[in-house]
Order: sequence, then structure tokens, then C-alpha cells
Amino acid sequence: MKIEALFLLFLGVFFEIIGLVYWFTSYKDGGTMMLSGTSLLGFFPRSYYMFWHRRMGKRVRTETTRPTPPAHLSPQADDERLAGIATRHLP
Amino acid sequence: MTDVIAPPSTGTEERPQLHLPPDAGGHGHEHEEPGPTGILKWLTSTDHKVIGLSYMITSLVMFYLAGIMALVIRLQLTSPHSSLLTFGQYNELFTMHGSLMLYLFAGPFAFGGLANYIVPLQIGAPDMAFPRLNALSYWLYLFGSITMLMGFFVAGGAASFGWVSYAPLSSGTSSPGIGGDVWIMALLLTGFSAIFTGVNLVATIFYLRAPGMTMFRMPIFTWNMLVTAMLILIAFPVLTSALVMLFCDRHFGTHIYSVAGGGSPLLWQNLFWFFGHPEVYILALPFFGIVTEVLPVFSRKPVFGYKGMVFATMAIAALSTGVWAHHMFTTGAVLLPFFSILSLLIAVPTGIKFFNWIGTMWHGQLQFTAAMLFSIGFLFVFLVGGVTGVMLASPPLDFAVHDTYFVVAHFHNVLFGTAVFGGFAGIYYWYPKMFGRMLREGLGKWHFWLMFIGFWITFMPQYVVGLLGMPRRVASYPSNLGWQSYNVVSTVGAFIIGVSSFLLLVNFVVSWRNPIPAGDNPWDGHTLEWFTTSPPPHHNYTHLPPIRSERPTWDYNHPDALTIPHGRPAEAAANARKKEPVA
Repeated sequence: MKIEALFLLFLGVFFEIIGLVYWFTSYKDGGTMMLSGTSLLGFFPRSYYMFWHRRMGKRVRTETTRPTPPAHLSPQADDERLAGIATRHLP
Repeated sequence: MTDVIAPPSTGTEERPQLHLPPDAGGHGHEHEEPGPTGILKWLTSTDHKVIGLSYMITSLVMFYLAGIMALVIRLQLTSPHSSLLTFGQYNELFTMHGSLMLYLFAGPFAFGGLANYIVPLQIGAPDMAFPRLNALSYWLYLFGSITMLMGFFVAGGAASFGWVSYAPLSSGTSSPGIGGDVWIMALLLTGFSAIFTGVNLVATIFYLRAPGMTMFRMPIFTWNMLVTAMLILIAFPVLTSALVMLFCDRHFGTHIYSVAGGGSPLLWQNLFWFFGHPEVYILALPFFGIVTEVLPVFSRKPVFGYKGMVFATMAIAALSTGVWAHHMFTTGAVLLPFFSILSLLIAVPTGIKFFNWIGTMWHGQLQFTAAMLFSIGFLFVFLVGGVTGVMLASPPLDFAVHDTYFVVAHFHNVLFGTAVFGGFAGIYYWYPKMFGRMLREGLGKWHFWLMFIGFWITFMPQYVVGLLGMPRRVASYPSNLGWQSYNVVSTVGAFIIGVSSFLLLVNFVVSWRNPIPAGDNPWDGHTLEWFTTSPPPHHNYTHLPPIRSERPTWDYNHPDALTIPHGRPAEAAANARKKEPVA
């Protein structure tokens, strides 16, 4: 849940900053309220997910027995064998 | 608990039957959905696949209805003083065309249809987190759609104040008919549907991912749907509350948007666009996700800059929520530099996405299937929409072309490029997974080329006629300003688009009557949905492959593939191939 919580933290912080910038450049309370309200939409669920993250432990991952490589460009990319059966139906 | 199985020794194989596979996914009669069949199944099912298909079918019906309205609008404009429609009928048609396309087709097709069907499959989940809420979302959407269409049959006709429903034009005094109320009710229903779907998508993606499916291994389509769901939860409640206040103004004597009673019409614009601009990205981001799935598969490469794509999506979404007032530059009541700078900034993450899409295709083994053609078509069409968007983000230019056909052409470049080109790419790409049979590629290519050519014939003249000063939302125009020829060309293009869209229906019929079996993974797809059967069984999987990258199905089908770290130059990849040739 940590990544999910960070995602929501980003949301909250971004709108808090934008809200402050908007307030000090426009002094319009309507737009500032909307932006501040949106930042709460990030902070509130983020708090819940962090609370939950500390209690749920780590999730099951499949790479515990072997390191995880990123996705790769394969030399087989141009191998006709891999083209899939759909290409046989192309006009 | 779902089992994780070891990879086989062979790669992709041809499978001759519609209902198949001995090894992948697991699909037997014991896994068929229990309960009613036939029409009762469609009425009562909480299976995300059935609900997703229901969404897609309903939204495509809305697309064709709105398209027919567009053709009638274009016919009216071929002549400066056409008598095909009255001014009132014309107003109703452009209002309903916009409302159907934006509220009932583009959004629901993506986050109701494709997301419902594909996201649980892509993350290895058996269903959405809240299946009954999911069914409720669909029925709210369906009855919202029917309610909106009912506007044509009430006294006074359908709503005629434009899809943006500006106050005071939408007040009870200016638009007194029941049509406006019906429109508001329809949007409330579909708005709640969208909010429930957003909640469901976030909960599903956060809680129901398969073992090994970490956040940064999720397919880009799923990432985009997560961000879209967040945007829905930010934007739609604002629209819903604004609509409730509008309804109160129309019927309960409040003056929230009325100057006479101390209210402010600009409040509507602020609230509407606080919903409306994120709505543009609610409509666009899912289709960005589709294109990001299609391009790597038909380039035979992984997506270029995976994390860059994810962060660019977040940046686009975040910025889109802070730029609502760039639609209000000409009101004179907004801070121009703030909204102009933020609007211009959106071009940066969008540019990152474009370079990543190009990087994905660069040095790839391109296969120009219909899905790939529509994705490439999306790149061209959306690029022009983005560039003209940058122009409109500049207040001096916006002041000059505000409310002209230039703006109409711009947002059709943006929304047609994403929802239509991106949407059709998704249909051609995932149709084999949904139905276990192929669409005809030949018809698909005719569909693409006619639509691509028709699009430019329709909308390029609109840029010109907009720069010449033709305002939008007019049913007639002066005959001595040289606008007619542009409008005639635009109408011809619109009918070419109409013919091309008809070809998709033909393709569905041909595929249904003479099926070509698709097999489980006809495109040699990368992501998890291609691991299960086509169509997937009830609850999707009985086995899952090990998930060690964002391409688990590809990893499973190519266990002997030489791995080269992502981001190395193409020369390194070529050298590595020479060192270790494929047997």
C-alpha cells in the first residue's frame, strides 16, 4: 500500500501547492477553495492507506526466488514464429 | 488462492478451435458461470465482462445516434440559409450531439466498458471489487442514457442550451421546457454511475492485484484507468452538485446562478469547467492507455519509457485539474497568466508521451494491423489537437478565435483523435479476446483509411472557416463571406466518416456469421489478459504465470529470450543478437 499512498500524497501536495500559488496570485477564494478541497481528496485516503499499510504486511511477490529483470527487447522480436496466428488472416 | 504455474517449453501455437486451450488460463465446463443464461444473464449478471460488454454496446449505440445527429447538422450547414431544420431543432441537435458523444459514448465506452472488461484481466483479478455496485453503475448509465434521449419526446423538445449548459441560458426563464430538466436528471444518473465506477476501479486496482503484480508492473492501460478513476472522483461530484443547484434555480426559486437574485452566472462556468476540463482527460487518458498497449505489441518491443509514461499520465491529470478557467479567458474575470501557464505546461508531459510512443515504434518490427493503423492515426490526429490546444492556451490567440469553428475543429481533433481513433484501436485489438474470433483485417483497414481521410476533409476546412470568423452554434450564416464552400467540403468529409463507421458494423456481422477462431493470444500480446482463454472463463483465471515484469504473458511464452536491460541503445541490442543468435 506504500506506492498507492505515495500516489495519493503526490495528489494532495500538488493541489496544495497549486492552491497556494493561485491564492497569492489571484486572491480569489472560490478557486482556492476548490483546489484546497481537491488536495484533501489526496490527503484523506492517503492517511487511511498509510494506516492500513503498517498493519497489512508485505504482499505475496513471485520474484522472491529470483531477481526481477525489467521488460526487455528480445532478439526474437523479428522471429516469424512469434508473429501469432492472426497475421495469417491478414489480407 | 490462484496457482502460479511454471512456463512451458514452447512459444505461441496455433489453436484451431474457438473453445480451446489445453495449457493456458484454464477453462473448462466446470468453470462456466453459474446462474441464468440468455437475456436473463445480461439482465442479472454481476460479471465484469458481461457488464463491460453491456457498457460498450450501449455506448456504441449512442455513438451512432450522435453521429447521425452530426450528419444532419452538417447537412443544415451546406447552405447559408438552409430550411432543413428550424433554429430550435438545430439547437437541440448540437446540444444532444455533444451530450451523447461526451457523456454517453466516450467516457462510458472507456471507463465503463473497456476498463470494466480489461482491467481485472490485466491485474489477474477474478472480478471488480464491488460487482453489485458495478451492475448498479451500468443500470444507472443505461437509464440515464434513455432519460436523455427521452428529451426529444417531451413538450418543448430536448435541451437546447449546449452541452456546457451555460447560465443564464439554462435558467428556467431562458429554457423553460421539460427537456432541460430531463437533461439535468440524465446527467445526475450518469454522473453517479461514473462515480461508482471510479470507486470500483480504484478499489479493484489497489486491492485485487495478483501476486507479483506490483504497481510498477501494471500495464499502462490499467495505470491510465487508475488515474482516470481518480479524476472522476475529483470532477464528477462537482458537476453533480452544480446540476443540483441548477435544478433548484429552475424550480425552487433559488438564484444561485442568477444576477437578479444576487447570484453569479460565472459560478456555473467555474463549477462546470472544474469538472469539464478534467473531463477532457477523463475521456482522453483511457485511450492513451489503449494506444500504449497496441503500439508495443505490433512493434514487437516493450513500451519505451514505462515509468515516464506513468509519471506523464499523473502529471497530465494533475495539471488538468488546475486549468479550468482557460475556457473562461474572454469573461475577463479570471487570472490569465496563471491559467495560461498551467495550460501550456500540459504540453510537456503530453510531449513525453508522444516521444515514448515514437520510441516504442522506433526500430520495431511494425505490423500494420487495423488496431495499429488506428493507433498511428490517433497520433497524427491528436498531435494537431494538442498543437492547436497550445495555441488556444495563449490568451491573445484565444480572444481572437473564441467561440469560432477553430475551437470546434480543435476539440474534434482532441476528442475524435482519442475517443474514436483510440477507441476503434481498442475494439480491433481486444475483440478477439472478448469473443474468441477475429475481425476482418481488410474491412478494418478500409474502415481506418476512410475514417482518416474523412476526418481531415471534415475538420481542416473548419479551422479555416473559424479563422475567417464563422461562429459556432449557428444554423445559418451570411452568404457573402465565402464560408459556404468550406462548409460543403466539411459535410462531404462527415459523410465519408459516416460510411467508414458503417464498415465496423459490417465487420461485426461478418465476424459473427463466419468466425475465424482467434485463439488465446493472436497478437502475441504482452499483458496478462492474453494468458487466459478467449473469451475468458467465469472469474477469469484458474492459473497465472509468474509475474516478474510488466509483460508476464510475453515472458511466459518466450522463456528462452535473451534479455537486454531496458533503455540500452539499439546498437547494443543488435550486437547482443549477433553474439547469441536465435536457434
